[in-house]
Amino acid sequence: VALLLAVAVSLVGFAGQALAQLRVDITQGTIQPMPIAIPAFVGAGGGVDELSQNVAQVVTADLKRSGLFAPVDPSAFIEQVVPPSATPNFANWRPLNAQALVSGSVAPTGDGRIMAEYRLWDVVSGQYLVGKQFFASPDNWRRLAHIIADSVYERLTGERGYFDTRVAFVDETGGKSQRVKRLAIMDQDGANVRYLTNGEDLVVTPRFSPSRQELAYASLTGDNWHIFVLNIETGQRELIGNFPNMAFSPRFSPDGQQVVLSLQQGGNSNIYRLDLRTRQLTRLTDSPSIDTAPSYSPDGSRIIFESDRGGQQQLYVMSALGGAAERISFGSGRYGTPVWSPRGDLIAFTKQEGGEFKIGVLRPDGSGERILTEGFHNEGPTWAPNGRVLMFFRDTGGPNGGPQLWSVDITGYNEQMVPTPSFASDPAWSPLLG
Amino acid sequence: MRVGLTVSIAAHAVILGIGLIAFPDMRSLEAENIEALPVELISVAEDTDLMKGDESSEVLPEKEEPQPMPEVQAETPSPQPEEKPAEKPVETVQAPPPPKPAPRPEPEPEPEPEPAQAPEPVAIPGPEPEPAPEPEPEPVPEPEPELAETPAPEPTPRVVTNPNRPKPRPEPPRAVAAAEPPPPSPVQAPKAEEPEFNADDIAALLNKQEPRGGGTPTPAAEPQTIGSIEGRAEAAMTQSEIAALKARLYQCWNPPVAVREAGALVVEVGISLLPDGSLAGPPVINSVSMASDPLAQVAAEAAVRAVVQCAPFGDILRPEKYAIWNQIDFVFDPREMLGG
Repeated sequence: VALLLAVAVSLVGFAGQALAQLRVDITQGTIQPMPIAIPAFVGAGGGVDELSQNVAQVVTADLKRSGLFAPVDPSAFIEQVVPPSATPNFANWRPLNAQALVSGSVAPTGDGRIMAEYRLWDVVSGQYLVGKQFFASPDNWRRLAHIIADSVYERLTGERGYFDTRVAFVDETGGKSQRVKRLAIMDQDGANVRYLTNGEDLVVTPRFSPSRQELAYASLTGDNWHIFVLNIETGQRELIGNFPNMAFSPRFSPDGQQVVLSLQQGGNSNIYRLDLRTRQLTRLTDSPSIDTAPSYSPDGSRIIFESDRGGQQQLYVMSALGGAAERISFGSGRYGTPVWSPRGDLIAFTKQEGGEFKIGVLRPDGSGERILTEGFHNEGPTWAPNGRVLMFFRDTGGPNGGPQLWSVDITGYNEQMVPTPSFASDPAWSPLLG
Repeated sequence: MRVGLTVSIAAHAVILGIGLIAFPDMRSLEAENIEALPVELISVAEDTDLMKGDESSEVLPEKEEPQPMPEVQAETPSPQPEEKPAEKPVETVQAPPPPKPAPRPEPEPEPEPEPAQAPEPVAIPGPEPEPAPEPEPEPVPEPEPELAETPAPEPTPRVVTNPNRPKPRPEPPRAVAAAEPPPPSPVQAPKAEEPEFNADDIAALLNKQEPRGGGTPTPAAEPQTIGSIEGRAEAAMTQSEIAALKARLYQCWNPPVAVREAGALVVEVGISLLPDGSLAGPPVINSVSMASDPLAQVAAEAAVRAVVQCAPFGDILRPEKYAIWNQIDFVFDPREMLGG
C-alpha cells in the first residue's frame, strides 16, 4: 500500500507539472500584407548599378501587386544595401516593422551571362529562410526577378508563385467601328509586350496550353471562324480541324493533347473534343441548345460548360467523356464563360444580372457562390497558375471607352489594373514558365 | 483502527489515481473551457495563500507532502503551486537565466557568393543552360534561367518541433518548496493523538516531520519560517488579463491565407518569460498539427513571429503573478478566423 501511495504521489506530482502551463488559445488574427524589405541588390563590383537596382524593383513590384506583401519604402531604410553573403544586421530592419528581408546580388559571370543570387531572412526571429542562385542571359533579367519573387512568395506563403508567367490577350486599337484586334502576349506585369498576329484577322478567345507554351484561339478569316494552335516561341501557327461550321471557344485539356471546343449547327451549338494528334473529333454534348465555353477540371475527368438547355444560360458539369450533365448554378441571372481553377477547388464565371456583368466563383458542386467584382461590364476570367488570382477584362462604357485588363484576388480584394499598351480583352494566363 | 487506516490510505490512493488517469483525457477538452479558470481561484487558494516568508528563518529539509489534489479541477490549465518560483527572501534577486543570447549569426555565408562553392553540387545545374529539358523545338532559344540552391548558410532547422517543454526555467528551490504549508495531512492527525498507533509503519514512512512551514495566513505565534514571497497572490489570471493577452496576440498574428484556408493547422508555441514580461528565449514550437503538410512550416513561423512581435508582455502581465505566467503556451488555431 505504501508503495502504491508513493507511486501515486509521484505521478500526481508529474501530472501537476504537465498541467502547469498557462495555455492561451489564439483564434483570431489580422489579415494584413506582410511588411517586407527589399533593398537594392548588389551589382557588379560590389556597388549598386542599374541592373541590380532594377531586379530589386521588379521583385518589389511583383510582391506588392500580389496584395500579400507590403514592401517597405526604401527611403525609410537605415541600410541601403545588404550583400547576400552577409548576415543582415536585423536591428536595422526591425524598427521598420519589416518581417522579412530579401538581400541579393546580380553580377556578370564572365561568360556573357549574369548570375542573380538572393537570400530571404525572417527579420522577426533573425532566421535564414531560403536562398537561391540563378543564371541567365542579361536580356532575361526580368525573368530572373520574377523567379526570385516567386521563390520569396512560395517560402513565405506556402503556395506556388505566379510571377514568372505571361498573359496572352487581344490587343484592341482603333475606333469602336473599325477596331483592329491583334493577338498579343506580355509578362504578367505588363512588360515585354509582343504581337503574335498582324491584325488582319479578327481574333478572340486565346487559351494557353497548361503544359506547353502554346495558344489556341479562334480567328475569323473572311466569313469563317477557325481554330488555330500557335507555338509562341516559334511563331508556328497550325489550323486544327477545318470545320464546316463555326468553331469557337477552344480550350486545352490539362495534358495539352486535346482541345475542347464548340461547333455551331444551325441555331445550336454543341461541345466536341478534338485529339490534336489523331485529329479525331468526338462529340460530347447532344442537345437542341447552345452549349459552349467548355473548360476541363485540372485532373481532366470533368468538363464545365455553359448551356441554355434549361431555358436560361447556366453552368453544367459533365464527364470529360460526355454524357449526362449536372447543372451547378442556380442563382438569378445568366452564367457564362466558366473556367476551372488550376487548383480544382473553384470555378470562375461571368454572370449577367441586373444590367451588370460580374465576375464570381463557386465550388464545383455549385455551392459557395461569391461575386468578386461587378460593374458595367466585367468578363472573361482566367486563372493565375496558383489559383489565387483571376484576371479579366473590364469595359467601363462610354463613347471613348474600351476594355482593359484587371486582376482580382479570389477573396475579392486587391483589384488592380494590368497595364497594356492600348485597349485589351480576353486575357489568358499562362502556366509557370519555369 | 489498522483496518480503517488501511482503507483510508487505499481510498486516497484510488482517488489520486483516478485523478491522475482523468487528467490526460480532460486536457483535450480544455479548448472551450478557458472560461473555467476563475473557478479555480478558490480551489487552489489553500495552496497559495501563504504567509510572507521571513528572512530569519532557516531552510528546512525538503519534505514532499502529497497535496491532496482538488480532484475535480483537473482539466483547467491551472497554475500549480509547484511552479511558483517561491523565492526565498534570502535570494530575493534570483538571477534569471541569461537573457536570450543575441541571435547568433547562425548563417555562415561563404565569403564569396561563388557558385562553385555550393555544397550541393547536385542542386546546381551546369553553368551552361541545359537544352536537354526542353525537348520541344524551340528555335528561339530563350535561355532558361537556371536555378540553383544557394549554399544555404548553415541550414538551421527552422521549425524545431519540440514535444518536450523545456523545464520551467525558474527552478524553484526545492528547499523552499518544502515550506509550502502542508495542509493538515489526514495521516498526521491520528499520529498526534494516538500513541498506541504503531501497528502499521506506513505513517512513519509517510511523514516524520512535525508540521511546520508557512502555514495559513493566520498570524502564527511561532517564528515564521520560509514562506512564499508571493504572499497573498491571487492564484490565477483574471479573465481580463487573459483577454488582454489574447487581444495583443490577435494584433500580431498574421497567418498567410493558405494557412487560414488549410483548416485544422494548429500550432502550439511555448514561451518562457522573464519577470519583466520579456522573452527569456526564443519561442519553442511544441506541436504542429498536420505536421507533414507543406504549410506546417509556414504556419509555425507565422506563430513564432506573432509571439516575438508581441513581446514583451510586461504591460499586461502583473509581476505578482509571475509564477503563473512565467511559461505560456499559445495555441494558434486559424479555423475561426474571418476571411479564412
